[in-house]
This record gives sequence, C-alpha cells and structure tokens, in this order.
Amino acid sequence: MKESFIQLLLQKAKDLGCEYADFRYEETEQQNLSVKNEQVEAISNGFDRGFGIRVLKKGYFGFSSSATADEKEAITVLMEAVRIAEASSLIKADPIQLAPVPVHRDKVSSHAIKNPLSVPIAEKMEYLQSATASMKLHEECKIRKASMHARVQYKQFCSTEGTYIEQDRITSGAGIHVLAFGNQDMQIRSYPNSFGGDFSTFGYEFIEQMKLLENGPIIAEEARELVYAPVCEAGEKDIILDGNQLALQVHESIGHPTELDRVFGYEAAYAGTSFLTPDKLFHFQVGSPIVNIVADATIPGALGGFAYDDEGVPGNRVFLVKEGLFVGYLNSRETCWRIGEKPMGSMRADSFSRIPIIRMTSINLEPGDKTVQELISGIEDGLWLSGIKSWSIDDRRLNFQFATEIAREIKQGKLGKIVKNPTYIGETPTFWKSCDGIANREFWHVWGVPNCGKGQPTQIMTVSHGTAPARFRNIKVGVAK
Amino acid sequence: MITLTQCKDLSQRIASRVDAEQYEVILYHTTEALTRFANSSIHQNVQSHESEIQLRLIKGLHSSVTKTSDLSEEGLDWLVRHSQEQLKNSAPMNEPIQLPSSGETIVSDSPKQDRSDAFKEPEYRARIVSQVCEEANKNAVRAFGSFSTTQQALFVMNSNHTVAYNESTQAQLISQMMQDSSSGFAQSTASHIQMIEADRVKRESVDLCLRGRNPRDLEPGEYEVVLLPEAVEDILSMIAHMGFSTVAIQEGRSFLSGKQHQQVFDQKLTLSDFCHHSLQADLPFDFEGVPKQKVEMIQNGIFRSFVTDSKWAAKLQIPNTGHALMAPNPFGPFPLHMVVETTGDASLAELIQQVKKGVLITRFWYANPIHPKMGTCTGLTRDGTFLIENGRIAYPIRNLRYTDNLVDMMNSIQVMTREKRFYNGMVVPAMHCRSMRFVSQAPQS
Repeated sequence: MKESFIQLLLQKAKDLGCEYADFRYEETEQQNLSVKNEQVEAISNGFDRGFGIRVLKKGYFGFSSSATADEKEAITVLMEAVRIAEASSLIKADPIQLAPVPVHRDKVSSHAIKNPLSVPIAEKMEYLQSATASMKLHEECKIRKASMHARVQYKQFCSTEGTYIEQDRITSGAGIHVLAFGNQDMQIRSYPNSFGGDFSTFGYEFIEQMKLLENGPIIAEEARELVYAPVCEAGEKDIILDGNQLALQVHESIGHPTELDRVFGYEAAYAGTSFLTPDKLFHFQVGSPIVNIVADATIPGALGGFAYDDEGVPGNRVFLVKEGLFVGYLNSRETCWRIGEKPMGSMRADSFSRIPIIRMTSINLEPGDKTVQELISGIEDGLWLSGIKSWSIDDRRLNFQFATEIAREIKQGKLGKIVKNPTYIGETPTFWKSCDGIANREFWHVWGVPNCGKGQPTQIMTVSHGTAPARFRNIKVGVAK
Repeated sequence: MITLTQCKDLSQRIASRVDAEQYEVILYHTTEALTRFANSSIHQNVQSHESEIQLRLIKGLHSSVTKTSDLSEEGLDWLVRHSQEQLKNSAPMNEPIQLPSSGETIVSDSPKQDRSDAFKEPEYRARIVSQVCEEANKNAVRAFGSFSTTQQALFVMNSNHTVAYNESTQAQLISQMMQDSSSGFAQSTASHIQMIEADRVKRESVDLCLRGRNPRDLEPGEYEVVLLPEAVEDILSMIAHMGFSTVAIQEGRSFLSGKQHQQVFDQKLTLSDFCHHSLQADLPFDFEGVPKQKVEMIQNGIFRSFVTDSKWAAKLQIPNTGHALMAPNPFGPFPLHMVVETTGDASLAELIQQVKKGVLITRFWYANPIHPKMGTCTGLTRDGTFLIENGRIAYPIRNLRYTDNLVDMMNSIQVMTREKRFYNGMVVPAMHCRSMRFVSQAPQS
C-alpha cells in the first residue's frame, strides 16, 4: 500500500490516543506440487494479500486485520484495533511498555538466484515424477511420494516511531519419501528430511542441489530392509543423533523453552510454559561444556533467517547456551526489558492476519571438532538414529520422547544392522549434559523447518536449525510397545 | 459476513471467464476474534477478517486448483488467468475427475448461528474474562486462557448445478488456573456466546488447580484410567488421525485396513460422524457441496463403514457420504464431526467409584503417533492428574507420559458417562478404561 497513506493512518492512530501503532502489509504467492507413484497427486497455487494493524493504547494492545486491502477498510480496521485495545483495559494490569529500538528505513531484496515460481510447472513435475520412479525398486515400496514448495513474499512494515521497511523473501523446498509394506508391517523412509523434505530462503537452485534422484534408491532400499528388520530393544545405550533428528531435538528442548513469552506465561494455557525461568539465566547448566547453541537470523539461506522481524528489529546472532550454560532468551520489545535485555529480533507473524509473537529464528547447535567416524568409534554398544518420525514433550519442555524412522546398531565402534521402530526418551538438561561429541563443520547443515506451530489462533512459522551429528551417553531407548 | 447473493455474484463473474469442461468455486469467509489472558490479565486481543476464493478447473485428465484472498476485480483476473495457465501446463492425472451433482441448492438455515451484538463485542469477551480472573484472585491462583468467537460462511458452486451455502458461529472459553505446583483446566464451546458456561468453567478449573497442589510421584506402569471428556477427545482424535482416513484405510496404512465388519474396539464403543447432532457444529455439506450423511463408522466396536467423497465413492462404487475436504486433497475424505453415540448410564462420580487403583486424567498434551498401522501413540497428562484409590480421589500426582496402543486401550472400556461435551469438533463422554500404559513421569522444575 502507499507509504503516504500508511503514514496518515498511523497519524490517525496517534490522534486516537495510541502511544504506538504499527502497520504490516503482505502479499504472498505460493505453489505446492506433489506426485505419488509417478502420477500427479496435487497442484495448487495461491495468492494472498492483506494487512494488520497493531495499536498500543494506555498500555494495552489491540490488533485487527483484513484481506480487503483498500484505504477505506484500513480506517475501519484501525478503529476496530483501537476498540479492542480499549476493551483490554477493562481488566487492570501493568501497562505494556516497549523497549526502545533504533529507527530503520530500508528495502531488502531476496538473495535467491532463481525464482522457483518462474520455473515451468511441467519441468518441476517431471523432476518429481522421476524422483518417485527412482524409489520403484522393490515390490514392498508401494507408496512413493515427492513434493515441492515455492513461496514468494513481499512485506511492508511501518511504525509510528518512523521505521519503514520493505522486504522480499523467497522460500523453496522439496523432499521424497517411500512407504514399504511387508511382513505385516509398514515402514517409512524420507530424504532429505521427513514431513516435506528440506527448505530454505534460497531459490530453485536449492532444490536443484538436493540430489533427490540419487537418494531415492537408497531410502527405498532402507524402507524395504526396515519391514523385515528386528525391533529396537529396550535398554540404556549410547546414541548418535543424525543432523535431521538433532534439529528437532534442538527445536523442542532448547528452542521453545527459550521463548520469553512462554516463560512469562503468555502460552501457558495452550503451548505451555518453560523450565528455563529467569532465575536460571546465567546460573543453570543446561548442557555439557561442548554444547553451544545460538539464535542466528543472519545465515544466508536459513529458513529462520530474515533482515528484520515484524517489529522492525534487525535479525541478530545471540547465544542461548554457551559452553553448556543457559545465557539467553528469544525476546520481544514487550518482554526483553523485564529481564534487563535489549530486543534481539524474534517477533514474527505467519500472515498479515496474525499478531507477531516470539518465534525461533535459526536455532543452531554449533559444530564440534569430531568426524562422524570418530563419534561412532567411541561407542561400544549403541545406536545411530536418523529421520524424524514422532515427537512429544511436556508442557515445560523437560520430559521428551522421540521416534526415528531408522536406527543402526553400533557395536565395538562399528555401524551394524538396521533395527526398526526406534525410540528414545529423556529429560532435557540430563540429556544435553550427556553430550560428549559433536561432529565438525564439514557435517553441519541448516535444516529448514516449515511447520512450527504456536500461538492462538495457531500460527505456523518457518524456522531452521543448524546441526551436525552428535553423541549422547546412557540414553533410554526402545520404550514403545 | 459474505452473503449468499454476494457469493453467487462473485462465482458467476468467475464462471463467465472460465474455459474448462468442469469448474468448482469455493468461497470462504471467517471473522475471528480472540481475547487471550495470562497471569489474570489480558495480554493479547485480536480480530481478523479473512476471505478466500478457490477455483478448480478440469479438462480431460488435467486439473488445476488456484486460490486467492483478493476478491477485487484484479484478484479475480489473477485467479482465472493462473488457473487456466496451470490447467494448460499441468501433467495429466491417471484418473478422471467428475464433480458431483447434488441436483439441489442447499442453503442452510441452521439455528446454530449467533447474531447477537455480544458475539461481536470485545467488551463482552473482556467482561467474561474479568469474571474468570476475579475467581482466580479470590482463590489465590492465576488465570490463563482465551475467549474466542468465530463467524464463518462457506459457499460451494460447480458447473454440475451444485450450489451450497452455510453460515455458522462458534464461541469457546478456555480457562487454565495455575499456582506453583499445580494447574487446572476447563472449557466450554457452543454456537451461541450466551451458552458458554463461564461459571462452570471457572469453578472447575479453580477446583482442579487447588486439588492438584503438591503432587506426588506414581511409579510408571499399567493403570486403570478415568478420562474426563476432554481427555477422551484427545485419545479419539489421535485414533481418527491414525486410522479413519479413507485413503489410509484403502492403502493399508491404517490399523483399520482389511478389518471392515470385524470387532476392532470394545463393544461399548459406537462412533459416528454426524454433523446434525445437537451438540455438533452444523456444517450440512462438504467442500464439494455434497450433503453430509450420518456415517456409523464403529458400531458396538465393529468397524462398519468409512466416509467418502466424490473421488472415492466413484473409485469404490459406493455412495458418496459428503466428507470431501478442500481440493486438492491427498489426505482424502475425513470425518470432521465425530460423535460417541454410546449412551452411558453413569455419572463421573460413579465412574470414579468403580476404580480400585487408577488415574484420573483431565486432558492430554502433545500426543503424537509412533506407528499408525499398529495404533501406537505417545503423549502426556496435563492440568490435573490424580490417583484414585478404592473409589475415591486419593491425591494429586505428577504428570505422566503414556506410550501405548490406543486400539488396545479402546478395547478396555468399562463405562461411559451419560453427560457428553463438545470439544475440538467431537461430542464425547467421560470414560473409564481398564488399562493405560504409562512409561515415565514429568519431572519437577
């Protein structure tokens, strides 16, 4: 929308007694393609646009939004937002204060080379069809799927403090999976990751480098082998988590509990709270001394990366865990000053119609100094676990249970046979304190996660996690019946 | 809210520009308002107005699905242009699509629509939230939760003379009371805002929180369980997710695959998809505009039937039950209005009285399937877990993680309550089951 009109609108918010207001307009075009057993399964395109207005009046927030992006509607929506803020004040509470931030005026371009929406559909479908054909190896491999996602977004942010930012962002992703049936069982294998594959803010070049066709036969072979494999036995073992599974472990047990809105109870009735209470900041050992975890929105191509968040705060790199010590939170302008911190830029909304809330950026486990072979050779009796299958963690993010698609035994420092239905269970600090080896940067990869759910109404956010395989000692495995 | 006349006008404008053998237009409008509270004050208060129009085109074996939130002339142009381009460039499917022809215009006139001013007022929501917070303050606990209202309109039209339009409303109050060592949860969901049971919700959530103070340990293992209605919904929604998708059943991915007309659950369980149940949200047609039929999926524990849409009805040569989701829909037809039909004959107190040693569960959290074909799942208890001994609630216990086969669990139903509640799209009673397997306890902070 025209900047001159937005400025007038925000001035009107001030005239209505608001101490602060911001306006966010978004246009998003996206495409989802999927192929099943070499046949077209789904092709869909979408275009959304609309705006949201957030106002702060006498210490209370109000927010409203509309998909009718015209000036008359914008005035109506502003009035609704102000009325909602006034209604909030019917329950007296400490007024909301926003930490000061520098004013920015900027225009940010996407760093994608090839716009994925410009690549002909026929070319993309052919690629996906070939990818499912590459998994057609065995009679057991009955369901073979490939999918691709492309998204092009323009975002405009303007605040009463004078910040005006325009950002372009492209998202690309793809993946394959195969379901094998046999031996009265069903097993799944995915590449490069479960639940749609891998995602990034690079362009179509990211998908071209994925090597789906080369990896299709490998996962098809593994899926077939899994249906006939023995079940993972219960016990206590040393384990190595592959990078894709470790990304989820970081996400659930470190990413979510460091969200400061959860800590203050804003998500309590829905997504839960956090065991990382403010008294633990700089005083609590959450992992072993080799565990370093950062929130880094500045990595090119990372799905959780961005130039500015939806409060106009620049993306940053900050430590959450340093040498195992809990040292930082993901925060917002509303929450950061309460613990004596500055805004670090993690407020995002999943669409124009939603209010920004604290979200993970790219939450990365920093690489270690080992090779994967060195990690394996340090285990007498253990398991190597790969491929996200199932996850669950309590509402304070302490008690977790994960299942992976595949496991391989490790005996006397060597990888052995495949076992199926592997699970592992633990408590967050105990688990991270048992980490005694992390693979080096050569094995490190930033995994794009497109489906992080949080907030009411539910918002699905794109985040990412940089990880390399890591080793954990004495972990309880094989708990599923 | 978008009216039937506006929907017809928009769809006609689209239809006049379309070049295809068949077309389908779906229009969807939602106004959603939500007041969220934490630490006994409002911290988030929002509203949104969202519209979307989706166009499906079919020509031979080619099809396209395109949607936009932009209902302007420019937006409609984009929609038709992209749909046509996609139709031209898409690869052929292996099966033809025939859009349904219902032969009638369905215009829902359901009484389950709240047109009161209160439904739209942020001040009304704030007043109810204020009462919940006052109850918390009186009892020295803190209130968390949300009060939301949703107005929706859905319109479906296709080139085979199907026209369907429905408006609906829903309000929901969720209260979670917390203090240092415990929490309590209660909710009320209804089509009319005045039907929200705010007094019950605040009373029950405070009561569970106060009773839950200083929880003790319980050794993990297999226990009898009494599940409150919200916990039953959590379990049945996981079972539905793992097993009730028609595509999953046909492809052999479901625990129901190959078991039609066999005893799968305890004979006390009868489960239907029935959108016209008095407690259900009334949506009388599916996303292809086909009237929804009542489908008795589980009858006295026997897997009788599954839901269909136009594609699966044609493929399997059986009637279309009207359970299509929005195209393109790789997930297939799915029951969205499940009702536990079994009429129990007990009260909650009577359920508890029957338990020698067991666990009372308010609700579950973060359930996730481990092996859908086997029916294995994991999750945790939350917001009020208690040990029952000799027919009485003995003391609160820490939250427990279950990892269990939920099909086996639903084979151990003992008794259900007369009273049922509507929660997350399902009508459910409280339930006493003979066995649930817990594998660990959630730790103290």
